[in-house]
Amino acid sequence: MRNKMKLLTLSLVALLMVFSVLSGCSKGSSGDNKGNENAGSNGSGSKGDGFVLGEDELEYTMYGHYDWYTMPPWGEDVATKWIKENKKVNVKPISSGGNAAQKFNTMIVGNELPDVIWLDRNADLDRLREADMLVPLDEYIDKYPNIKEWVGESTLNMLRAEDGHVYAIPNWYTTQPNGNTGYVVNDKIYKELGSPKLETTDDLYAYLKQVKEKYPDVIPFEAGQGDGLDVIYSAFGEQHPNLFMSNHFVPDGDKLSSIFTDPVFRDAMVYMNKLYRERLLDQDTLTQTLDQVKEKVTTGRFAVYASSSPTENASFAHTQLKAQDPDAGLKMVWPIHKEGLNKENITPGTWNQLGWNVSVITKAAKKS
Amino acid sequence: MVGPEGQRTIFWGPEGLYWDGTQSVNGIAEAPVFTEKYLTDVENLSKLMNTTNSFQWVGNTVYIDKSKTAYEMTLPEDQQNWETKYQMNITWQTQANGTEFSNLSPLPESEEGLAEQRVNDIYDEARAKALHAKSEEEVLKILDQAEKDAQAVGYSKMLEFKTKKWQDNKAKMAGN
Repeated sequence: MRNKMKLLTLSLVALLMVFSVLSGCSKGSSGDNKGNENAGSNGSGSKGDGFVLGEDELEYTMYGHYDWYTMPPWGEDVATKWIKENKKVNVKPISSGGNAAQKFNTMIVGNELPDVIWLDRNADLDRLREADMLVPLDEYIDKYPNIKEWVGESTLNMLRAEDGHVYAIPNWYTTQPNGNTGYVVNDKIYKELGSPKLETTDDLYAYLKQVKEKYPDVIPFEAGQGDGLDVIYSAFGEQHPNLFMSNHFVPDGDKLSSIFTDPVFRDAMVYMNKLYRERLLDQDTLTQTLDQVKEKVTTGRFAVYASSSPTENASFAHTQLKAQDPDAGLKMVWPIHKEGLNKENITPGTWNQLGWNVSVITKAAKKS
Repeated sequence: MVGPEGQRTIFWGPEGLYWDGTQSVNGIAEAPVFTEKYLTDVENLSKLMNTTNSFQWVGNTVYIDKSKTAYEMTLPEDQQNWETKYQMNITWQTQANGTEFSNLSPLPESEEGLAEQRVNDIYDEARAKALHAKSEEEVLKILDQAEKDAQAVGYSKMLEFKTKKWQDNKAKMAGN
């Protein structure tokens, strides 16, 4: 193994960090994660086929390409301490110093790239790739099976660059739905008003009217900073998630067409206008701050709250309200739909297989 | 870090603290078995997770979510995490797969990119005006005008660009 190690370039070592760090023996993804001895049962049986973490020291530099990102010291919390001691891995942070754009340029111009860069899938990623500064990962993806097993083919295909290679490993990728977009109901008010049916846009309108009449100090419909309006849009068409409204396009057959002529959008805007005119919708929806939204939600001063992710505010609020009054509390309801539509096909939000951002390995890893 | 051992270590710390051993749940072969400490030592667990949050460079959503929710579901309802409960019962069942709509935007300095910026401005203004309008007729009139204004700054061309990227994504995802 040690001999074999020397044949491997250091770039491979850095790659392995991403691929199999902490997966222990990279071959044993199906349950045997510690038993390096069992590797012999795998294929050709050559133990030297891959790198086994923990057998050799591995250190690499890592740069998070964000103004806000500061990597905590490696090895000082119990998790990374364990990795450092048991897998002999050390990660050295390169800081953006609060100015990622400048740091990025300096590194490129001075040709002083870190081994690994963590960044968004955007123009900077394209720039690194076009400048031939990244290591293509295909070979290693074939060799260390965790990526294929967990990321999956269609997501890897989405990550493929124009030259056919994969250069980036995604973060928080998924193959199953996630996300929190939807409606939260103030349960105390709801119960006090007799728990009326709350499934259709007409039900919602009638309910909000009732709230306004009985609870003059409460915001009937809280739409956050406007993201809740995109959620209402989803009620007016099956498979019409908030993303269409917020991105200003709507699929029409195999084309994307104008949001302004979209019948679903027009219907939804008429409805939202009615809520606004009758003061059922917070009059400050398009101008308020996140803190103002949070304050209203956590004090229970709303009847229905829709947002692209209402759960952070709402789960906190639920605990607070319940502590003060055991009868209080918040709950989520099945997404509202316009009469005549199938409620099973209403999709207020979206999820994305690609997750959030990516890690890339630079050719500097080879030279160091 | 991609694999199960890496994920549970970097997320919940090493074995023996908040988890001990693994089990198969919901199609996940190696979900951690959470210990008593996971429930009782919330303060230190949160502290650890606040730190390790910054090390989540290659987070594996399915592994983490399934491990967590399988455990939550074994708890009595009043101990279940509020968010997880509704994710399981409502939100995860009602989110659409938006992957094919990823990365549709043109480069900001390109012709389509400039059009996108102008359309965004027209949209923002039209939405505010439509929300504040005095009647249904006025709402529709505002949207008709926005359509005209947007077409005048290259909306069609921008939509063509995005359509092409969208179709490319669909082909890629299908493996073509």
